[in-house]
Order: sequence, then structure tokens, then C-alpha cells
Amino acid sequence: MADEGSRESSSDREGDELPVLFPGLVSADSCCRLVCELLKHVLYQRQQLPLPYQQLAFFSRTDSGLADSSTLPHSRRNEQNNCKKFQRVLSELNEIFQNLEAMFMLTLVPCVHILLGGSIVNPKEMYEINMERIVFGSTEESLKTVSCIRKLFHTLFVKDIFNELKSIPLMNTVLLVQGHRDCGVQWFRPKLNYRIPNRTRKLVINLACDTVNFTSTEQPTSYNHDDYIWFQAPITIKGFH
Amino acid sequence: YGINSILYQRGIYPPESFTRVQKYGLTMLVTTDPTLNNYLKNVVGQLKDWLCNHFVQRLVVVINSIETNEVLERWQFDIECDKTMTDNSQPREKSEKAIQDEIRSVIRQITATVTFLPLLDTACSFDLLVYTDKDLEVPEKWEESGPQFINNSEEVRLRSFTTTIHKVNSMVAYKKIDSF
Repeated sequence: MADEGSRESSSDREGDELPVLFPGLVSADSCCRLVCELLKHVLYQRQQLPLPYQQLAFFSRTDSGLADSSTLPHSRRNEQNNCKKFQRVLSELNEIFQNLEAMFMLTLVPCVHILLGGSIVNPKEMYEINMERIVFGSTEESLKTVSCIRKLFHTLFVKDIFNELKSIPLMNTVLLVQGHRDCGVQWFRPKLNYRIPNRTRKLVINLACDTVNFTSTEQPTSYNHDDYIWFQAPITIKGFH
Repeated sequence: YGINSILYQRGIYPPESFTRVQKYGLTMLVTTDPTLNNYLKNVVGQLKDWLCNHFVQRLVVVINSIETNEVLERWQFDIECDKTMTDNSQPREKSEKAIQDEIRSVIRQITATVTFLPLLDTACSFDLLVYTDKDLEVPEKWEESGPQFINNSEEVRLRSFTTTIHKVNSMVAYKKIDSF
């Protein structure tokens, strides 16, 4: 439970931590992209998707011409069922990305949680993307989004987080996003009783801007944590092979 | 499969020229281009022969710009071989599943590099270099080559895998990106 007036930090508990330092301002749009790319990355690296998202999207376009299943032999029907499964997941992911973009336009988002498996109270794995130390700038004055993505994933790669060898079972993935309680978001649903899981395998990705050369006005946002609540995406991503 | 993965992930050949297969518990992309398939078959056949005879030290996939011939990316697979192993040796106790788990892990890493490697926004070709023992007779269709290093490069290491006879250490070098 959070102490009054302060935010309970999940990095206080045991788990891996990955600091990513950007050498300049970062736009809200870039932050949104970073979250989307991380979600795609986690799903593939944790074996919930058989291919990375972009490749699945490509194949879904080329496979979409499969015939009506009632006329297909059993093996092709299986193939078509798989195709339907991954088109459904792609469609759900697209819906999440679009609504994340809307969320980032409505409110500052200090933190995002990706929960894999188990339940929201006790997931098997948790990935926190912490953006409290980001200094936001406009698109023109900020670092290029593609450069931020490259920096994040290079750091992630070198740290070699996803090095587990054993096969991982299919799980459900849930997305939670912090936002201002009055932001007016419709799609994400308030989750006032969400408590940060404390007995789960966890990675905290701390995104921050290197403020050494910044002016006094260019500093991380000071969040009043009482104004920020957790929202949950109404879609649960079901992994498939 | 590793070479196919690199060629697909780096866009050296169009994605529509690849098909999906299941291998090592992963969905892998392999080429359907008959010319490329034939080329790879010949190379891998020769490589397999050299590997079994403990002649190979390193395999390198070099990606260069067709227009400028500049080397843009260099995937290096260093192979350490236990030369005490012969046809008469006792089999090593490492399961195929364990080896496949390690290979799968490396393939997933190759895929992950796409997230930060510089975009190859020019038409590219590739070369395969094999470092062998010095006195090995070079087959007719092969020729000697330099190392084809990259000017002003960065590199990252990938995970290794081992069959207990051969250990493969991998890395990729790429042109340094200046602008942020």
C-alpha cells in the first residue's frame, strides 16, 4: 500500500533494473512509441508471438486471401485457424497502440506496466516502463523518435535481459497505464484497486533524460502522485504459437 | 538458418521471397529464391564438410552496398572446435533439445538486433567468408579474400551456443551512427 503523499516505487523491491539515458529532450509521442515497441518486443521475446509484430503484420496481409474454411482440407483448416488467431491478435494490438497514442495526448503518463501470465494481482512477469525522469519537449526540439528507439533497444540488447533458454508457456498479457485521474480517457478503464505486484519476476526500465546541460526550466515533471491513477486496457492479449 | 535469418531480417532479399518453417521450436524464415537456395546449399555443404574435419575457425556474413561496395554490416561467427573429438570418440552428453534451446536463443537475438541496427536504406548484397586452417586446399569455386572490415564501426556480441564439440560465439559489427 502506498504511503500517503508518496508513490510506492516498484523498484524498491527485488528485480532487474535497466536505466536508459537519452541525451536530450524526448517528446510524448516518442514515449508512446517506446511503450508500443517494448510491448511488441516483450511479446516476441517471451514467446507469446511466433514472430515479431511487424513480420506478423506482413504475413497477415499476404495470408489474408485464404479460402473459406469449409472447403479446405483439415491441414489447411488448421492453417486458416492459425491465420485467424494471429489476425485477431494483430487487430487487438493495433487497437491498443491507437488507444495508447490517444492516452499520451490526453495526459502525462509517468508509468506503464506490462503483466504477463498469472493474474493482475500476482502475474508471472512484470515489465515496468518508468518515465518519471523524462524531460518532455516538442517534436521540433526533441530527439528523433527513431534514435530514442534505437538507444532503448541497444541498451536492452547489451544487458541481455531475455536470455532464458527454456520454452515459455502461452500466457495472457495485460497492459496498465498511469494517467491523470481527470484526463477523460474512455477506452482505458480506471483500476483504483490496482496494487503493484510484489512477488513477481520484474524488470524496471527507467527512461530518463540526461539533464546535466539542461536549463532550469528543462527538468523532469514533478508529479503529484495523488492526481495519478492506474488505468487498465480492456483487452487481454492471448499469446499464440 | 542463421544466414537465412540475417538475409531476411536485414532486408537483403524481399520479404515475399521467404517462407515460414518450424525449426528449433521457432518460426523461421527461409528463402524460396532458387538461385539463392542453390548457392546456400553449395556453401553450407562445403562448410559442413570442413566443420566435421575441424578446419573452420570463423564464418562471416558481410553485407555491402551494391552501389558503393562499402561494407555496411559484418556478422561474425567464431567457431571453437574440440579437435580431440573423432569418429571413434564417445558421444558427448548434451541433448539435442539443450542445443536447440541455445540455437533458438541466438536466432531470437538476431531478430532483436533489427530494433537498433542502422537502417540499410540502400540495395545490398552479401558475401560469405570462411576462415579455415592455413594449408587447406581452396575449392575451385571459392577464392581468397580480405577480412572486409567496416570503417568506423560499433559492435555487439550475441550469445554463444555449444554442441560440446563446436562452440559458436557471434557478434555483429555495423557502421557507427553519429546523429541522435
